[in-house]
Amino acid sequence: MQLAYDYLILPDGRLDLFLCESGAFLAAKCLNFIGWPTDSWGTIIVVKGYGGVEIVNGCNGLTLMGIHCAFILAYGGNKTKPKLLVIFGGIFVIYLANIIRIMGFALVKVYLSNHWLTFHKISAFVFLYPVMLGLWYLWTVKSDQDDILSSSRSSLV
Amino acid sequence: MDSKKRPRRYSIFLKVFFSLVACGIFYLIVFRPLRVELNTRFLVPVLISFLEPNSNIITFNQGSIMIKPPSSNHSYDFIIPFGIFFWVPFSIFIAIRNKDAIIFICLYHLFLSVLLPILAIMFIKDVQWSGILLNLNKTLFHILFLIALFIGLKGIVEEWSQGR
Repeated sequence: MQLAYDYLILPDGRLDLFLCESGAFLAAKCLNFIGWPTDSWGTIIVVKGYGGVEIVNGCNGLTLMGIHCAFILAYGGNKTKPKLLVIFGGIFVIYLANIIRIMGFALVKVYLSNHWLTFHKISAFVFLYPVMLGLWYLWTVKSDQDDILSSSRSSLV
Repeated sequence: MDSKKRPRRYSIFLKVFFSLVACGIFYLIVFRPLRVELNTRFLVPVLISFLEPNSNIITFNQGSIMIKPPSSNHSYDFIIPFGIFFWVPFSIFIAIRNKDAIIFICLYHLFLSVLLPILAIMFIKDVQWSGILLNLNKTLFHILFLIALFIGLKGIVEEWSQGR
C-alpha cells in the first residue's frame, strides 16, 4: 500500500489535493456555520483576522484511511457486505473526523497560537485515533473472525 | 480468622491512569532528555560525518530526523524510536499486564534503534532502496503503533467487562 502511494497516488497528486482542498473548504464552511468567519483558498484555511493553516499531504487523513482499509481486510471475516460497509463507512467517518481536526487547527491559530505545534502533535490522538480504533473494535466484535487480537491470550496472570 | 489481608484491587481505569502518569513522568524527566542528548550528541553527528562538507540535507528535531537529498523531490524521515509511539502503548500494556506485548514492543523499538541509523547512513551514501525501506518503515511503525494501542485498549475493555 505504501509503495502504491509512493509510486502512483503521490506523483499523480489528485487524491491528496482533493482531500486537502475539500477538507479545508468544508472545515471553513462548518466554522462559518457555527459563527467564526472563515475563508479557504485551496488548501489554506483562515479565520478572518488571524493566521492561516495550510493542509498538507500528511494532514489530509489519507494515511489513516489506508491503514484502516488494510486492517479490516487483513483481520478477516467472511461477511462481505458488512466488511465493505465498515471499510467505506470508516473512510467517510475518518474524513469527517479530519474535517473537525482541521477546524481545530484553525481555531488553535485564533486562541492558542503559541501551542500550535503541541496541538498539531496530539491532534490525531484526540480526533482520529479514537474514531479509527472504535471502528476496529466494532469490526473485531461484529465480524465472524476469531478474536486474534485479544490481550487476554498473553496476559501475565 | 484469616489475618492475611488480600491485596487491594484497583479498577483497571485507575491502573491505566497511574501507569500513564508514572510513565509520562519518567519519560519527561529522565528518558526524554537522555534521548535528545543521545540524538544530538551521537546520532546526528554520526550521520553528518557521512555527508559532504557544507551539505545540509539532514534536518533534526527532537522526535524525528529528515533527510532530503538535493537530487530528489522526496524527503525521507524516520521517527526516532522510544518516543510517544512507544510509551503510550507500553504504559497501557503495563497496566493490563500483557507480558508478551511488553517484550515485543521493547524488542521492536530496540531493533529500530539499530536498523534506522544504518538505513539512514546507506541512504546518505546514495543507496536508493534504503530510502524506500525508510518510507515503508514509517508506515509500518504507524500501523504497529495503532495495533499496539488497539490491543491495549481492547485489554482495558476486556478487564473492565470482567469487573476487574
